[in-house]
Amino acid sequence: MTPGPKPSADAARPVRHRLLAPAREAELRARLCARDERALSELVDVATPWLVGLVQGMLRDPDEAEDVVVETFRLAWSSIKPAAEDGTPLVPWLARIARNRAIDHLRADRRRRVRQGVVQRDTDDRTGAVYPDEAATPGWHVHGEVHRALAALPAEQGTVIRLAYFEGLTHSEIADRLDAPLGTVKTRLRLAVSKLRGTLAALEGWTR
Amino acid sequence: MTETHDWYVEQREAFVLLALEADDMQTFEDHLGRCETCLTAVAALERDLAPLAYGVRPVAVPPGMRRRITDAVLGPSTGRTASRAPWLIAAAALFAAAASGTVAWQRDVALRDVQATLAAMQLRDSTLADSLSVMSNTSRVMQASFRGGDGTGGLVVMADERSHRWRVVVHGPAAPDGMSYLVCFITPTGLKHAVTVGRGGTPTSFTLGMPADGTTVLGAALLLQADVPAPGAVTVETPIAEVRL
Repeated sequence: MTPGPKPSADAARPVRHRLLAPAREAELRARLCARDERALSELVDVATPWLVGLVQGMLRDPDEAEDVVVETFRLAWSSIKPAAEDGTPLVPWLARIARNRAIDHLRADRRRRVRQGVVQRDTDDRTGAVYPDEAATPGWHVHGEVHRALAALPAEQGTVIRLAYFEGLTHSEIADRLDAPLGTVKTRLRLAVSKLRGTLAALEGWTR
Repeated sequence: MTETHDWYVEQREAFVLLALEADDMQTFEDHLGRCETCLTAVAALERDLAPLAYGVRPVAVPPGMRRRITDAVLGPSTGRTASRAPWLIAAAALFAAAASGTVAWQRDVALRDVQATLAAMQLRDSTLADSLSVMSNTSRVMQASFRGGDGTGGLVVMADERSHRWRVVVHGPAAPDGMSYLVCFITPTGLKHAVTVGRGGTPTSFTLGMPADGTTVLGAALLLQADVPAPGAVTVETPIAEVRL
């Protein structure tokens, strides 16, 4: 008799820790493409803490952030493609959609503020409640690696990356914020991305 | 703006980070439709930078949001996620036990077991319903984090201002031996003990009513105190975390 397949190490881990393993990711994507509603619930469980954190950091408005995350899932459900057509891991793919939507909100809001002559708010009051068991969140180990990679950048490069990615500012908005020449900001951004690429691309199997 | 290909090469990083101005963004997107080199380069950049999505701290999902998402995507949830109530299952089991029992005493034992199970389930259900009621009516979420021992912790208060009750979540590193976390109300005259949480180490959540004597509550504080203060010991009365209404 042929012995059955040996259980993988992933199979022994609690469900929440193996949700983002490559095999699980592929299976989840396939079920989403097949319109499996339970797969949607699983994706919501895995991705929402990260998406809410990302969008709240950009918009600083919990209600607006919630709207953006809801819209993100609606768009994702209607546009998800099989892995062969889109190999981006699910959470980063959702994060890109969410950032796009959040940036639309941010830039519309800035235009409105400029029209109304409102001084731009520049506070750091993060409104979200920190995930009470964040270290158990799928992807938490990647969070640590990303922080190490960002911390390893020269300070001025880390700042432009944070302003661009995590606050959704454009080149010229970053230049205004830092009171730096536009060309300098562009150069810092390119150098920072180049270094980050090297560090982050070396994260083997980071979706595990 | 120059239309040479060098310009597109220089803008790839900013395009992936969505940091281009709106007009340049559109110009770049149009270019991607006809330049395989840039398309491939951008895809590689996106793949390499994908872990940045995990650069923020995960945030507790607001109450009711999960349902909002599934309703927005799939339509209202009437009947979709409904499952049989536990009491119905227990009632069915009771009926089955009564109907199939052939010996009276066996049936009586089974009956008592099922009744006990049913009572426990009803208690759990009502506790759960109560918690969900507070969480779904939350009008305000307050949080504070702290560092202590060998880790970090947090105090989250979800306030239902309609029923004047809070859902509280406390998570902190395990307290030193002989010490416990406790939650106090912050009042105009000082701290008022609300509940002793225990030694921590794992997240604890509970529902809290406002003080029965009608004291005005300004917020909540988390403290670490000795279970039984030793004679002469200094009691720690400085909150390690606090949130204010």
